[in-house]
Amino acid sequence: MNDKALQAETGLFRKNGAPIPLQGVEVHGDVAGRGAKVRVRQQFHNAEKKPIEAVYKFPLPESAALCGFRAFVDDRKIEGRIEERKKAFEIYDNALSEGHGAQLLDEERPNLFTLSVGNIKPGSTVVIEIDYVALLDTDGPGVRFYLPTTISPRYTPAHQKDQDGIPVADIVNPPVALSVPYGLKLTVDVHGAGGISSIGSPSHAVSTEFCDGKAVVSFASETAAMDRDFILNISYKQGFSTRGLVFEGPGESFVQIDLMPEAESAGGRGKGPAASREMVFVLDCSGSMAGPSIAEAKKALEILIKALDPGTLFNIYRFGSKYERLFAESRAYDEKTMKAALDYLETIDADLGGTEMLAPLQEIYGARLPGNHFRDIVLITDGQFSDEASIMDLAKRHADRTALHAVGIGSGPNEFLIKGLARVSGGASAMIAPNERIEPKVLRLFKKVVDGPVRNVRIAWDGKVDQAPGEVVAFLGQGTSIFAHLKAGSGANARVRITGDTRSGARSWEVSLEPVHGELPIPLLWAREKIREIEEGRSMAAGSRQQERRQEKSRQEIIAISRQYGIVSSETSYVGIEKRADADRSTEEMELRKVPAMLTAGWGGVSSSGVDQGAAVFCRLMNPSADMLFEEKDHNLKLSLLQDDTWGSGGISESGHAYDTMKGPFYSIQSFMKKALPTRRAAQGEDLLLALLSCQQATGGFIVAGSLLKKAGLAELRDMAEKISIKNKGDKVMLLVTLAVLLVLEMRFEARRGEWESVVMKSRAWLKAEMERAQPTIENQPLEPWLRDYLAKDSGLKQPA
Amino acid sequence: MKKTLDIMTVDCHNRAMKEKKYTIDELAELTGFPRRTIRYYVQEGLIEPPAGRGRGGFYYDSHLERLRLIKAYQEKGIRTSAIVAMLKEGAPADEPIPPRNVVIRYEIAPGIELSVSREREISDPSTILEIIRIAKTIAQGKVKDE
Repeated sequence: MNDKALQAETGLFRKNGAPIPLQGVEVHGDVAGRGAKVRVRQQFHNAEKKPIEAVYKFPLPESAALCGFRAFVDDRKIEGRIEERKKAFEIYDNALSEGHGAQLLDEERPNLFTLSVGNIKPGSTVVIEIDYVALLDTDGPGVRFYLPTTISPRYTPAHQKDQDGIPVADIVNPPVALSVPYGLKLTVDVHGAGGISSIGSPSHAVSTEFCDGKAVVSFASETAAMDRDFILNISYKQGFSTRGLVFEGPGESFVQIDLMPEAESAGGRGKGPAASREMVFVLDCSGSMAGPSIAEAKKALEILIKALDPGTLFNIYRFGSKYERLFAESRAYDEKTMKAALDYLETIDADLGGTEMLAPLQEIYGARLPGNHFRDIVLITDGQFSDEASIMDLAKRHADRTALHAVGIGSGPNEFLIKGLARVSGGASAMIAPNERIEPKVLRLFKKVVDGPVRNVRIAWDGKVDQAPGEVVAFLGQGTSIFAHLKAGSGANARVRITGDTRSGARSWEVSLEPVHGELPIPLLWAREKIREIEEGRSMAAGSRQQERRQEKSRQEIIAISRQYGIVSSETSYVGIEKRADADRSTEEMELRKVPAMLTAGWGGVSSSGVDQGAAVFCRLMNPSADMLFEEKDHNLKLSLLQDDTWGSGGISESGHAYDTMKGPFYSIQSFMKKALPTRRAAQGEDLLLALLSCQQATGGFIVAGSLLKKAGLAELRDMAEKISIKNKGDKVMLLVTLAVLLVLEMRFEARRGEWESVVMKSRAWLKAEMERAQPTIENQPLEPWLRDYLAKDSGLKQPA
Repeated sequence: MKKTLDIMTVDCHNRAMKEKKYTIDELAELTGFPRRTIRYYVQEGLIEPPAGRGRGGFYYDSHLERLRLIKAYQEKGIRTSAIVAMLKEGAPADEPIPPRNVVIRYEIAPGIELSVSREREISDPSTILEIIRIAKTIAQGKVKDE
């Protein structure tokens, strides 16, 4: 086999015979607490005889403040500079026309960039270096380091206009390939390793070593395929608390407030009684969701529906090229409507083609909302939609009475759309990678929905400040950062008071501002937040002169901040010129080489593992041989439990001992996908909490089948029910079981309160009413203290592993 | 097709002697297309590459006319992707094809539909939504009464 044939076989060449110029991507991240500083290096090589222009579209986290761009052409270093987007292109284009080398980095979306490396000479190598800083998502005591690696094909809706005469599809979508010759190398240094309680990646097999007070995380294999987001979950021994930091510059200072409103225990209701709430679930059933994504999304929905309060108005929508709904209009939640919803869920699949998201959302937003009602929309999607602006505009316009909560599913969801929708509508968001357990994350999101946001967050500043974001969206138990630019000098050690309203009433937090120096780039983070706020605050509606003037003003403001702080924006680009001596200049027409992106793993149900590129559907099933805990014929126990996943894969134990594990194998199981609701069963001793939560009935009472009670060591409950005396007629078994479940949750699952608390609110209400009515006793004692004692003495439910 | 290309090449040579030449900047100014867009059209084969050596070459009136034609199509509401298909497949390009009148249909109730032109919907979505809402209320009210 000659070289070329070999290379073609290994995927080094594209189908048309031209080699792919991108050779590899290397990423190094430094994580300290809630912040990360990241350097991305992309190496290009021209193996052809003619000069080439390489164009590479790649994703970054949507919160990234992209603050550095340079190129190394062979060994020559070229520092990029920020220019207005149009001008940057002209500078780049002029340089190429004159035979010089040039590099251009454009932001197409906050999480999608186009890199053009022009006039790479034959045999020459160009390394592009990109720096960014970002704040990590915090949830409870943990942070999440997130790095997207590929761009999933995004659906361009029929209504979306071309951009300057260029089809949007060509702007956001790179060519895709099932395999590519380049891969990703990665290291992440997590500083302050002593404070880490656990660290692990649900997306990749990683190894972790400890040295010099750092945890150094890298891939277990040398390179990883760029077909899925990289996620690193880090938990710290000490949870985060609200803090304030200040960076002093000459004549100005920048403040960062990390607000961490502590979770509140269950009590009152977020927005009045359940009857004044409408919940609309919207499920993306487009082709890109086929495969594991739709199965996971349905699972998440099932849990949410079971947890609804009786009387809540609710509905389910699903969409693709067209859309449909469960009920013509939202209905009150009861046993019957719950059953209808679960039955409906069983029948649906990702078979609706395109991703026409706008129409169903317009209908939902346009539907009548009774006067005192507040609407929550829970959207579950991979967000592969190119018209983010229209949807965000719709959500923003209705934010006063409707919150949109978005759940991003899959190996490469569109983070900008997911988080952006939540941000502009005062909703919550969650990103769920394929190997992560869905239920705990969805239940925590649901708690946020039920709790509602912390409203009217205000900071009492001294003097004139430019705060970003101006309107703060914060949730209990979740970190939110607020930045401010103080025109006048010192704010160091000053105390700042933050106030806000939660459902339990007015709350306040007071922090003193600790000075920081170079270690935290607060000015950059402020600038990024400020730019985002202007970008998202811009109205879509075109037309009037006044609006045009306002838009132009916003544009100029973005350009000014972007230039001053050296970060890229929608209106500015980085450009670098490699000036060449006359003899070196090449004005020959160069060949355009678009770098194909690797198809996202699981995209549209297609495996990109390269194992089978045929029609077989692949699904990752972590523990196929796990013991069956539940019998399928028992309807109440038709659980959608996940297997214990790879949360800890390649992680470290608390003792700090490093170990590697491999990810679970792929199983080709077409039949698995065909089942309406793939029901993965829990292995024995596994998540009993979720098993129990799934036994909740529409009223709030629990019916737990004997087999589960037995497995859980609670078999005696059945006999116990015989001994109970009650005042009025009632279901003794349900009363006892519900009481037992609620006690067990508190006694055994305190650490996971965030997952179950909102789910059992209606159970508490039901139980309270039943207890008052029936006044149950056992052995002449009131039932509750008796059962509490019994459970405390007896093993009862086994502790979660 | 081959023949046409040959003729065009000859034609280009002849014209090069007497015709006006444009730089990409001039072309951008005359057509209103950003330079980025013109480069994109060259890449996609929607217009011929510039004459002369490489990227720094110049453009003729034929380029200008072609770009103006594309612009005219776009102003009629035809998407660039459709224009690419049309021009590359050699569809008659003299007369801009009138754009399809895009109408969105909303189902108010079984058997009742509301048609809204795309233009109207984009320019005034809140009014349209309000009309749909009221229409639905009326339709549903009837159902409820029964």
